[in-house]
Formats: sequence, C-alpha cells, structure tokens
Amino acid sequence: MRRALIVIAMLFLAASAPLAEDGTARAAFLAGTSNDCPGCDLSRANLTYRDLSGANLEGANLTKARLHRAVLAKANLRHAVLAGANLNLTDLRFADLSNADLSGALLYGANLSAAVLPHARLIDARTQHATLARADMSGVDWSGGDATEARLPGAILTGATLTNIHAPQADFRRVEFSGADLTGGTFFETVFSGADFSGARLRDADFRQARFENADLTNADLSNSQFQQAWTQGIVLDGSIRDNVVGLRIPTK
Amino acid sequence: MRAAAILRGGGVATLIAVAAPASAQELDRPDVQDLVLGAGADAQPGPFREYACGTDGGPASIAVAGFDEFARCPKESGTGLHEIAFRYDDEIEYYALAMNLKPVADRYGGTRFGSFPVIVSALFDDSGILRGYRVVTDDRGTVRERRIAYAMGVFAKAQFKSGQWTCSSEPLGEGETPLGNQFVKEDCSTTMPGGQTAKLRVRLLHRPGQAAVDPFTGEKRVGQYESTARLEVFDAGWGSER
Repeated sequence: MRRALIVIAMLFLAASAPLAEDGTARAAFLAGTSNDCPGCDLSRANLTYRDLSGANLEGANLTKARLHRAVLAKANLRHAVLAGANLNLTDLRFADLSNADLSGALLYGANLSAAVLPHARLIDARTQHATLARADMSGVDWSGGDATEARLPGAILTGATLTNIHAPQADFRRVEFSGADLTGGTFFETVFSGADFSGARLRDADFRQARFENADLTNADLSNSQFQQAWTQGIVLDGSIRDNVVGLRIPTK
Repeated sequence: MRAAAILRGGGVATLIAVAAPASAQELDRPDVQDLVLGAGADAQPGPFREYACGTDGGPASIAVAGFDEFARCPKESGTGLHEIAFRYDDEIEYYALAMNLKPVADRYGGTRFGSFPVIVSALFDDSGILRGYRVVTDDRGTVRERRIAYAMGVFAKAQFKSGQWTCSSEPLGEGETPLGNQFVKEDCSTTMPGGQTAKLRVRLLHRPGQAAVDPFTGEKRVGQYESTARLEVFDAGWGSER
C-alpha cells in the first residue's frame, strides 16, 4: 500500500514539474526579467511596447494578447498561438512564425519583412498596411483576411490559400503564387507585376485595374474573374483556363 | 469631470465591442482630464507615452521615463511647478483602424482635446503632487485644424460647467488685425466648487506683420494668423503667480 502511495506521489510530482517550470518562466517573463517563455500560457497578456527582440516564445499561447508596438524582431514564435492577438505596428522582422496560428490577429501596419511563416494560419487576419517584403509565406492559410494596401514585394506564397482575401491596392510585385488559391479575392488596383501564378487558382476574383505586367499565369485558372482595365503587358497565359473571364486584354505576341 | 471620462471610455468600449473580439473591453485610454489633482505622481493614470519636460505648453524638451521623474524638469518661473508633457497612447486608434472603424480611429487619433490636436502637460509641485495640467492647441496640425484651433475654447468651457466662467475681451493691439471680419482675443477664468481654478486664453487674429494677402505682391498667404486656445487647470490654492 505504502509503495503504491509512493509511486502515485512520484507520478504526481513528475507531472506537475513542467507546470511549475512553466509557472516560473511565465512569472519571470511577465515581470520583464526574461524574454523567453516557450510553451507558456500568455493568453490575454498585456505586452504592449515590450522589447522582445530575439525572444523564444515557441509554442506559447498568446491568444488575444496585447502586443501593440511590441518589438519581436528575430523572435522564435514557431507553433505559437496568436489567434485574435493585437499585433498592430509590431516589429516582426526576421521573426520565425512557422506553423503559428494568427487567425483573426490584428497586424495593421506591422512589419514582417523577411519573416518566416510557412504553413501559418492567417485566417481572417487583418494585415492592412502591413509590410511582408520577402517573407516566406508558403502554404499559409490567409483566407478571408484583409490585406488592404499591404506590401509584399518578393514574398513567397507558393501553395498558399488566399480565398476571399480582401487586398485592394496591395503590392504583390514579384511574389511567387505558384499553386496558390486566390479564389474569390478582391484585388482592385493591386500590383502583381512580375508575379508567378503558374498553376494557381484565380477563380471568381476581382482584378479590376490591377497590374500584371510580365506576370506568369501559365496553367492558371482564371475562370469567372474580372480584369477590366487591368494592365497586362508582357503577361504569359500559356495553358491558362479563361472560362467566362471578363475584360482580360491578351497582349499580341 | 471624472464621470465624463468614464462615459467617454464606455463609449469606446461600446463602439468597438460591436465589431471586435472580447479583448476590446480591456482597451481604455486615459486622457488629460483623467489626471487627479492633489494626488501624487505615482497615483496618476497611464500609461501615457513620450514623457518629456514641458516648455510652457510648447514642444517637448528632455525625455523622462514618467511622471515620477518630475524633479528632472526645471521649475517654471510663473507657476513654480514642474511641467511634464506627454502624448496619448495610440492602441485604440490602431485597433479601430484594423477593425475598419474609421470614425473611432479619427476620434482617438493623436493627442486631442475633444477633436482638437493639443500638447498636454502635467504640473507637479516640489513634493511630486499634481497641482495642475495644461492643454494648448498644437500648431503642427493640418491647415484646417489650425484655422479652427481657437474653437477649442468653446469646448473647454463646456468641460467645466460647474463654475461660472468670467471672460474679458481685449481690443486689438497695435498692428493686430482681424481675419476677415472676425477676431477673438479673450481671457477667461472660472472657479469650481472644490476650489480648483481653470484659465482659458483664446486668440484668433493676425499678429503684427501677418496678413491674408501679401500687400506688395497680392499673393495669398497661407497660415499667417494666430488661432490658439490655452487651457490651464489648477488645484485649489495654486495657479496664481509664485
């Protein structure tokens, strides 16, 4: 009987040790004495203006955390949950957000230049005026997001899902969209010059007055999309599907 | 005054909560009217941003960490108080922008008194007790904001209705001219039931040498006038020359 109790006590201690460790790390992090808190529960934490450059927050739960104007440059946020978090005006340059959950996050004016976000979830994220230049966003799910006037020159969005995204006047110059799904998106006056859409789905989308100079749409599906007054000089449309496309001017070779 | 501030905060929460996640209710932004006269630097609301020594309502001077560093700012010759300027936090403004709530963003954009861009500062005595605050229209706004800046005087009077305002209008001085057919040169004061006093100085006029049209070339001149309002609120027993 005594042996059984000892075993149970040892099991309890073994199970609670990580919790205590997490609690200690969390307390130090919230007190500002440490910038590292991997796996911590920081949901709804107020971290506004905090300098978290290079912080290790891998796997942390930052659901609805307040990070307005925080500095997270080069931070490790792999697998972090940032759903509904306020990241407006944050500095996330070179941050690693691989597989992070940013669903419903606010990223207005945030700087994610050269950030790494493969397979991150950005569903319904609000990224108006954000900068994502040269960011690696391959495989992200950005469906339903608002990217009005966002700047992403040179970003990688291969295999990404951008269905029903709202991105008027955004800058997608030289972006790699190969295999991406942009179905139902709004891209009024958006710039896609030099972008690679090979094999991408661009169905039911609004590309009026968008700029496609020298874009590659080889094998892309453009069915039911609108291209009135779009700029299409140098566009490549080999093998593309163009059923019910409206207003697309095909340049003569 | 405090009740009005709470109502203002409640208004924001209500407006944003319509379209925002639950975290919106955690957002609130103190403003200059939330400062507590007679209380210490550490008892003041916040956080505000960009604390700095003030320059009698002008642009900020030496940066300080917060109100508790009041002693680093020189004592004013007029009031004998230490002035710390600051600006409001912009978290609500950008929250509203992200949620496409432009009217809310406009209302809470920048540091404003009502809708007027202002420079705000807190005035501490030698022991760190808040004895007053100052609100001066900020000339760095747009041309339109600058043109109507003097109207902050009307808004200021409406904020302190518990006392009777006493105003005196001065005639134009030598070289001063009206803007079109309008000029304001008014000094007002009021004493509230608790003994706190408020002083208001409003100006709308061309100063000597300023004119809407260049008298030599006939070209239109933009912004050559003074349109300002300056509000100072003092704790009981403070505010007179020291």
